[in-house]
Amino acid sequence: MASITDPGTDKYSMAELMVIEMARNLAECDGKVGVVGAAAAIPMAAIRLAKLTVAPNLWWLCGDSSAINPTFDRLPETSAHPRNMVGAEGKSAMMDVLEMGLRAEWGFGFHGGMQMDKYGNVNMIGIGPYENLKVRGPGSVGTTWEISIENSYIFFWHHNRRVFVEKVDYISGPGFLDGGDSRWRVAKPQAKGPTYVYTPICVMDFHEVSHAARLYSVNPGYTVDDVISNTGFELILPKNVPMTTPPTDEELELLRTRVDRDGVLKKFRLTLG
Amino acid sequence: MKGNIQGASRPLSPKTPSPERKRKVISLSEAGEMIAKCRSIHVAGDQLFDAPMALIRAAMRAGAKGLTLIPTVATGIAFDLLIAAGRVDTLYLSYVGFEGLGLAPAFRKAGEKKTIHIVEGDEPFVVLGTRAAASGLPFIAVPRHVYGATDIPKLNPYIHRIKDPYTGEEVYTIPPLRADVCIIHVQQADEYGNAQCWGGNRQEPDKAKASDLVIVSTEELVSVDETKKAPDKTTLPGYMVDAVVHVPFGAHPTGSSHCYTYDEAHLRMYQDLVGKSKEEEYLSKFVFGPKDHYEYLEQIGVERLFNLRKVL
Repeated sequence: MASITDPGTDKYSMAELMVIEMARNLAECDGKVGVVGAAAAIPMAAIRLAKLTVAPNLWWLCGDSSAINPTFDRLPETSAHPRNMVGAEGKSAMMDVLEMGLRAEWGFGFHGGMQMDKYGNVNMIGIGPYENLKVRGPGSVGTTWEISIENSYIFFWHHNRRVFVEKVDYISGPGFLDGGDSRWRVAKPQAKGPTYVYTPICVMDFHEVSHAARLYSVNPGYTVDDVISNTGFELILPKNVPMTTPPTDEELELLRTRVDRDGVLKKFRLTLG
Repeated sequence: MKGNIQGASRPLSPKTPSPERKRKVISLSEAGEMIAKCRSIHVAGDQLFDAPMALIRAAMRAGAKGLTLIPTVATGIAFDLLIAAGRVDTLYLSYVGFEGLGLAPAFRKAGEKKTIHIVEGDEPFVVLGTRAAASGLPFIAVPRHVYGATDIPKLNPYIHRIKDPYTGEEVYTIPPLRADVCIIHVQQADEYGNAQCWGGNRQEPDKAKASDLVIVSTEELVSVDETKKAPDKTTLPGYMVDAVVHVPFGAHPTGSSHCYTYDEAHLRMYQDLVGKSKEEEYLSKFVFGPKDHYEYLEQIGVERLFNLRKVL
């Protein structure tokens, strides 16, 4: 199915690059309370790295393990792993997590999905007419809370036209809905919505007024054309699209000695096409 | 007026009626029979840890069928196995999958072929529905922002939009989710049902309260004296529990928090077999073939089981 699998470079893997770029951008969340869901090793590593560098005051709740502020140096492959509790500062109850969403007080959060459209809406329900789904999705889980998060970040392991579609078949996680100000017909004013989208080959952000997805940077080794040909909606293209800043030696050293000593991020199979 | 006849109550004596406290320990096959008499089950544990798998296999061997399943926020093989064996009628959905390992094969097939009834839910629907049942509330209302922009209320006939009688604003309601039985796997429990979930995230007491019957399986069965050494570590007090079953490795192939990790190779083998419609092969080898839990563990192998304990 995939034409390219996690090429990375001999210096770093694509997952490591994603983590480092996510961590840099978490500076804007310092002091806020955030959450990650399932299949979240990449954002877990990013938050951990950000706390060691640009955002020491992040508070975060780690998925099904319910660990508060884990300090692992051997990145668990899943947020459900009880090893997240080793070196954590506490444990949250599921209701604590829900209540943050009910009151719309999440400062930041990460989630993925099986489909995303140009307004950052995410689908986990399925593909095709509901009475006759072509693909039954796993269910919406906590993507619902995308509506109540101040800065939400979306990430994907795979970049292709089946993931990035003109319009999602169903909305599980509401992004900017139909664009413009439509999100705030429902969302609380403080819930600003999708900030960045991280994929194996690029970073997207959203236009300040139309709230349509825009190409923010292209990862080293890929071109704007790679992004366009693997994205099923029309991205806003700035005149000059920068390259995502490659990881520095210092960033890689920190990541590999303080966050992911086992090299979990080198094993992930991210794909393009 | 001073009473001059003898009181109706009986004077206290340590011998009457009996100082013996009732123990709640039963066998796994007895638990299976109890679950098989039920139609709806609250299942604790998540997609990779603390799923009550031995109880589920015992219930399947005892003939459990036509089930309605209520999960935690995320579930995996616990539900998928029951679906693969054709034992599920209705499923309340938040997430069924194997996380990084991929989709749940039987769930996906059943969802696409419509062989089970799926109630399209999510985290707030399942958690707050359980909460409502636990608290004996008629329903829980959530603010409009929670559901106003998703498609979930359009697909889920149990979520209603009503007017908040206090503010006049639109709110959405979630109904109580009650079950006949709740099954929970824990790491330690005593003979009176006082249990410690070393993982979990407090959904377990809500699930217990939302069910008529509560069965706990435990890695370690200890004396109540052990519980009394650290009573603050009891996460599920015995008064909420009806029966306790001693089942070492009772969460396998999922992990058991701080005891052993999940058996990734086994989960992948399951996904592979069911994905190729060879569920009968898996079921006969691991569910209906072994006469009890210990034969199941022998199938898995001692070395492999103990290796799962190394990683924590």
